Amino acid sequence: MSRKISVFLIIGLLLVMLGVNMTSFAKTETLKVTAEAWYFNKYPMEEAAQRFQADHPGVTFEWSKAGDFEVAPLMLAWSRNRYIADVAIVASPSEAVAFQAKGLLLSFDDVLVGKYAKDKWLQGFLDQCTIDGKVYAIPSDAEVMTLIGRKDFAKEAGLTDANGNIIPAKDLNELYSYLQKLTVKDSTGKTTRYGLTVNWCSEYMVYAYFSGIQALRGSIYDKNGNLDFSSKEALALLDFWQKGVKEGLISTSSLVDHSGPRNDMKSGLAAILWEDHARVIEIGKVVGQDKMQIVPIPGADTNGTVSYTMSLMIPKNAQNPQLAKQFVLEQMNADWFAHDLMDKWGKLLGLKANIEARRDDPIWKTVYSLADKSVGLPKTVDHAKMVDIMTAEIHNMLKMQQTPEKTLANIQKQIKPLNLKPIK
Amino acid sequence: MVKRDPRKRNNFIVSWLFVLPAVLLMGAFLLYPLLSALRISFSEYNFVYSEKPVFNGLTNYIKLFQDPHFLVAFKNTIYYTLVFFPLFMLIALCLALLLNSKVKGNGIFQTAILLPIVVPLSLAGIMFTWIFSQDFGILNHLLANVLHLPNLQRFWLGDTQTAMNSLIAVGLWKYTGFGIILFLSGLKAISSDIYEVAKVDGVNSWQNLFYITLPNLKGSFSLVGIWGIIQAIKVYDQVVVMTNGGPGTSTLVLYLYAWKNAFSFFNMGIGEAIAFFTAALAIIISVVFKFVLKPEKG
Repeated sequence: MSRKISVFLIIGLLLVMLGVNMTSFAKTETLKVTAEAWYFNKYPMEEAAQRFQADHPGVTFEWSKAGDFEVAPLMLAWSRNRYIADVAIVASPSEAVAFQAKGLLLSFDDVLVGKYAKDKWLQGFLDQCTIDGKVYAIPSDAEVMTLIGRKDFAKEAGLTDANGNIIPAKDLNELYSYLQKLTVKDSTGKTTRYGLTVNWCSEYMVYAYFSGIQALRGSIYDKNGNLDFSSKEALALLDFWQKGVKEGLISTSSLVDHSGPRNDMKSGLAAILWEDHARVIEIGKVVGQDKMQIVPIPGADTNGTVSYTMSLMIPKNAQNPQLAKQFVLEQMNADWFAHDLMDKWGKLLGLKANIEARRDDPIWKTVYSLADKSVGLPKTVDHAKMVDIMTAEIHNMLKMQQTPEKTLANIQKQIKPLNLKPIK
Repeated sequence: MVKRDPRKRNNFIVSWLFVLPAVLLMGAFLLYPLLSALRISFSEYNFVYSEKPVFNGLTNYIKLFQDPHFLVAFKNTIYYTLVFFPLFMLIALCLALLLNSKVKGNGIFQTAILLPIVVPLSLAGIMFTWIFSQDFGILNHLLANVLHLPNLQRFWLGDTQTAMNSLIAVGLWKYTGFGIILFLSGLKAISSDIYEVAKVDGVNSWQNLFYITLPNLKGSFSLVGIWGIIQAIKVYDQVVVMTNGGPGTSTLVLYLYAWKNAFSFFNMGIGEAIAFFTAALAIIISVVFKFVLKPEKG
């Protein structure tokens, strides 16, 4: 009897073990995606995961939500060979340079074929993700610097054509005359509506400055290949800003609040915004999309502007790198994902096809044209220090503590010891 | 030959065994990082582009004093401390005296004064950003439309003249409550017998304050003062949230500049040097303050 029981037990045990082994045949693969927490709330990541799961049964997803500006700790963890994620969504490609400098990233070159081939992407965006000729990040959440105008205010000021569209200013002088017409002051001389509001908050400061330089002279570099802080256009731009602030035509709300300019626009406190194109959707939701128009910075229609992008990266120690690349391309660059970003937030992805589908819309037509001619800021070792110096000096100028000439001279002097050699 | 008492030896071992976990934890999570950070402060180390820290002696500390932004941050931190500290002490003491005097509605006052303690400073920063807003802020609205003093309207955070003072105001709002608690505990510890004897001797309220209350609060002064100095020198949260050091560098403070160097410029060596410099500054000022308040002997 006891022998029978023993046999039963052994057979039972074997079956259980076999059962356990059978479950391991149905292998699940997990894709871990890390980004700042807001990214998951803002973008349709759940839907992207579900769609990917439908095409790739057995794949599960894990969202790893990081705090704001937590790139450095990520980098430290990766460099100690710790597995953090399969896909990392990071603020800007200039950070990709830092990751790549430590050899922490995988290249996308092997999957950029067919409809994802390199020539299918907006070059200005893809260039920002390219290091030593290899693509180490996929652009996401991309934006181009531009002017966004209120058509109704412009119409009041007589600055629109027969169709009610704002006539783009040809140069800074003409733009200045626009601001004079758009600005409204009360009986005490206090501005109740600014002609222009510019985002001068740290990183935006650099985008605003170089978008002006690119638009005015067709390049952000001087004749020696260094970032331009010495041309007559650079001086004209700073002069335009300072004069506008001094005369109450340009709002300085962004000096300490990066949301200041968009709030100026939403509340009707400003008629034109100098920031990224995506604000057009956000502001339009408040004041009415029919009142909004993308207007190129003077010269940008021919010379282009500056663009910037977030980046999707695959860490070298990812556990499912190929699957991660597939997810990034198949879902996070799909038409539906791109259009969701565009419609809800005004953000762009990098594939031309995604935007071309919307070119009938005047807003997207202008944005596409600007994006196609846009350039990214160079990836440099000391980029953050340059941002810091530029912000401090230009803020001092806007507070009338120094002249534009002195501002440019101070910037040149302080950036001299920095390593601002572009990493190609 | 003196024979050792084995019980004493055992007690020694047992007592060390009891404190060992704490010593190990402190060593691993406090002492080791501290020493490691100190070593990095004497090294050239960009943690993205350098292979490993390379010892460079006092170079980082010397570089600090050649860096105009560091000098501005140093000056701003000292300004913050010089304005914040006396106001903090004075307001906390006055309100503690008021709350200790059993005025009507004391409970409501206590709640109102202590409430800011539980509000995170980052949240308070966002709230005050709106209060101080030039165009949409309630402060300018009150000045112009309620008090009819439009000339006093300012761009509080965007003006180099008022930005730092606005941050000091937020610091005072946040921390004064804690100072009050410390002073109140000191006030409660003063024996009522002393006041009763003084009353019999015909001592008036002012004499009570200057000859009984304040001398007996010396311990609280020392505690509140050192705490206040440390809060002032390590000011960071409200600066990051409200101005991020701007406009220009008008509100750049030492800890913010340390953070920027470490996590924005990735220059850990310089970042650590600033952090240790700041810590040393807090210690020196605290020691001086403690020395000034040293009880008289005899």
